[in-house]
Amino acid sequence: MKRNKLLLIGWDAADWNIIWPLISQGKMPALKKLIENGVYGNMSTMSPPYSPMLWTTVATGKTPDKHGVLGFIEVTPDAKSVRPVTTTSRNTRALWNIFHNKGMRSNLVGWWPSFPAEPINGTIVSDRFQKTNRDPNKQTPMSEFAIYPWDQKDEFKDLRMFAFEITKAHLYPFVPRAHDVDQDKHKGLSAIAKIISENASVHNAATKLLRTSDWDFMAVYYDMIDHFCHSFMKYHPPKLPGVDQNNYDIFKEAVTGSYIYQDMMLERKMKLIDEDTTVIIMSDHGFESGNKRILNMPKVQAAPSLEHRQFGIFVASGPNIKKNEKIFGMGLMDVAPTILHHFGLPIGKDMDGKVILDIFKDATAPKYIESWDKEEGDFADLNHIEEADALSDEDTMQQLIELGYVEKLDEKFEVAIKKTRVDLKHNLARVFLGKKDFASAKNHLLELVKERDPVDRAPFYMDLISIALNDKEYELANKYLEKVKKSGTEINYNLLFVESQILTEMGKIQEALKILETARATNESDEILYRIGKLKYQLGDFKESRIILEKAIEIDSQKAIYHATLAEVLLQLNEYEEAAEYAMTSIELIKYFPKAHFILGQALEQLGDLANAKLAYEMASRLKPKVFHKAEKSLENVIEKLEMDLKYENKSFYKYRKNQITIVSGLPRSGTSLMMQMLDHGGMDCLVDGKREADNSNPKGYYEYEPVMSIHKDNSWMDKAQNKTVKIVAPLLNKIDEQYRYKIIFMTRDLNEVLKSQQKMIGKTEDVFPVKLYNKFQKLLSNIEVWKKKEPGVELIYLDYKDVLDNPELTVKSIERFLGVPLNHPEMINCIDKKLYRTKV
Amino acid sequence: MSNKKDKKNIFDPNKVPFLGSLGLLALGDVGFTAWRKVKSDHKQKKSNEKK
Repeated sequence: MKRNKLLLIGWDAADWNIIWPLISQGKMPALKKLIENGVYGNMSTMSPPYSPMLWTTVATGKTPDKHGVLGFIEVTPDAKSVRPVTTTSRNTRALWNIFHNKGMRSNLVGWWPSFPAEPINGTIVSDRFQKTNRDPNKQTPMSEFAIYPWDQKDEFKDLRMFAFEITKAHLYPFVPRAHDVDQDKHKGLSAIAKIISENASVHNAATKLLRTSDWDFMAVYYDMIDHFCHSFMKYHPPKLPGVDQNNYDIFKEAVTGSYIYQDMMLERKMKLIDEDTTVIIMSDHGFESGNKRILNMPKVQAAPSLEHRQFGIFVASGPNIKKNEKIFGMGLMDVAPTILHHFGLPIGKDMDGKVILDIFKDATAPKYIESWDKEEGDFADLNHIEEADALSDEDTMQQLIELGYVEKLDEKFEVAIKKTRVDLKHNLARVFLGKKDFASAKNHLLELVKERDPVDRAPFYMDLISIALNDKEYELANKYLEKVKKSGTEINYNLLFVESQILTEMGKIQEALKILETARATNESDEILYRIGKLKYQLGDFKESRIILEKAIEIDSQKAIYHATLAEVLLQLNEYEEAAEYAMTSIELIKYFPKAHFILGQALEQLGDLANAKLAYEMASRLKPKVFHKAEKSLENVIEKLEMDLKYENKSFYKYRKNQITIVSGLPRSGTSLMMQMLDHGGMDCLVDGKREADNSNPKGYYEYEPVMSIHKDNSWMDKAQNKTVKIVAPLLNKIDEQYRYKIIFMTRDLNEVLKSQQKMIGKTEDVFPVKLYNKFQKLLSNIEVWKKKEPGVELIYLDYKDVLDNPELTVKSIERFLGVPLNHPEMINCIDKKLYRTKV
Repeated sequence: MSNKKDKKNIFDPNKVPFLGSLGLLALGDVGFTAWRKVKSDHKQKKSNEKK
């Protein structure tokens, strides 16, 4: 009978950047076969990228704030000590609990964390099974909670391999010159022995279960690649400057060796499963293997995770899985919902992930329930284990310390406990940051900054800076930056980036650019180049921005944001085909990147491919958790064009749009008050408060609304402007709320006249021509065009002040056509008083 | 429940090297157990020779 079985294999830290070259050399044949018969793609990780959190997200479909596993270690229930994280930290049901409830059999091997083992229908060989004593004279007995059911212990106990059993025959494939290693100076060989033996133990248990047990779902986790990478990636080719030549020569094949061995183990597993079994292989994150490798690890909590790369791997193959197809946009949270869907089970609405329907040949609509946690019945939930000591594991703790994930415990346990609590709280805050729940993150961080020594508070202030920037609280951001500077932290933060970011957000772009250019002189990294390119774009220097962004992509071609930003630049350079290509590359890297879809839509719209532009806008709109106003406006525009079949006309036909806001804009002294007055007399409702009274410069009034002056801080009043007319001067136009539709009448006037009139108004001598100001105004006017191109909700016409005076009838007609509302022509024309055209050039 | 594919001869037990190999480890429990047996037999043989 067909069982619909599914085997999930976790390869911690596996990365396509290492895998693809090995596959092309024929060194990973088992994985190659799976890819050819299935789907593959990037697996996007989460922040912070700590493995126990990530693998629990894989098993639950939930983010760590919900599932409760927040780090490598936890405080014991009696609050007297700390220990490696256990199942007791997880406070939501995992896949195997759900399958248990449904009468399905699951096997779980090595999953992190799965100790103490839960009493499921099936077998759990927990993550403590393979952990053995480093001392060859001590053969660690198996803990009672390491396996469920415990009566199977005799079947498994002899499958544990010990590090001292490793021979040169095992070592040579990884280190062909193992005999040259001075083991007093380099502990590499003993590290390899430990990694191989532990992973062999996991593999032994897995193959035993595959051979001898009946199951529906099986999950096996290997940490081999991750541990090899942390120990030996620095010796992986190409050799980085500063790496010892001898060690490089000896250990340069260690990382690839771990991938090849992992593939050999995969091949065995594939031989032990039925053809109708679905197989998923995935990693929780990738691993930096290029120039970003870290040679000197900073002394911070879980520092090795700094070497993790955003994208891990995902491969799936099986009877209902598509063949040889690349899949996009997968995240760790999606795995559990997808597996539930594979078994025809509903997805909890409280899960953060979604079903990856793209992988299935026959994709049926997912079913949902409120929450698996609220379901009654037997879910093999773990009974509270009183004996905290039984869960303590000094060897595992020691390994975490040696790997650098956990700091050496303080001799005073109260200090260790305090540090653990602080770390876990900070991890939780970072999870909230990752979810853009800034308010929750801020609450935790503000509590954390109250901690006193020996807690390093700099990381909390760094996170608070990003929240302050998001909240547009720039002074606060600067205050936190000062705290970091004065903290004496050992962490080497790139504070120049932070400083330039604050300045950018404050609109001081030239100052921000100067800081980055200084940094670039000493280290031309892709991140610095990207930031410079982005600032150049903001300054309207599109050509230079393009060159710099291309350089950034040359250094790191895997960053979706680089491609998307370059696509934006290319749009401004009217290079739409190239813009579309870069936007597509960005989407290939991260499918769920609404902005990239939006930019693709803009490029396609410009290329006249309205049907596909519509699809791109729809996707952008659908992907954004909150409303993506620009995408929605663009979508409306494209649909209109498709309906009207006006393929190559861009906003040149006008109609009244529901709740539209009419804006009169332009430089001060370009006739904006006159236009407001005309519209007022023409029958338009004007949003004015009369606070600025008429004077000699504007004898008929200014027609202004005071909140406009602080629109850069608060534009929430704009709902009041719907179906009304409001005056907003040109420099403030880009602060309008993009959720509305706008008709902008932009007044132009000879710049010399504008400047002269302005000088006169503020009492300055008219004889001295302000050249600098003239240039700035010219730039501002050309930026209006750039800005307009980016704003799908904006329709804009230019009216020349002199034209309005000379051709009032034509002007009024064109305004009426533009606004799509009937106007009182004679009243409007009556407003024009040529005598007030006093400053002429 | 035993898997049909497990019945295939995946290695020759008489050719298991005393030092083991990655290939044997990759075979999982079967290869590992066979290697340990070879080691144990070898140890026993040595011990007998000493006696």
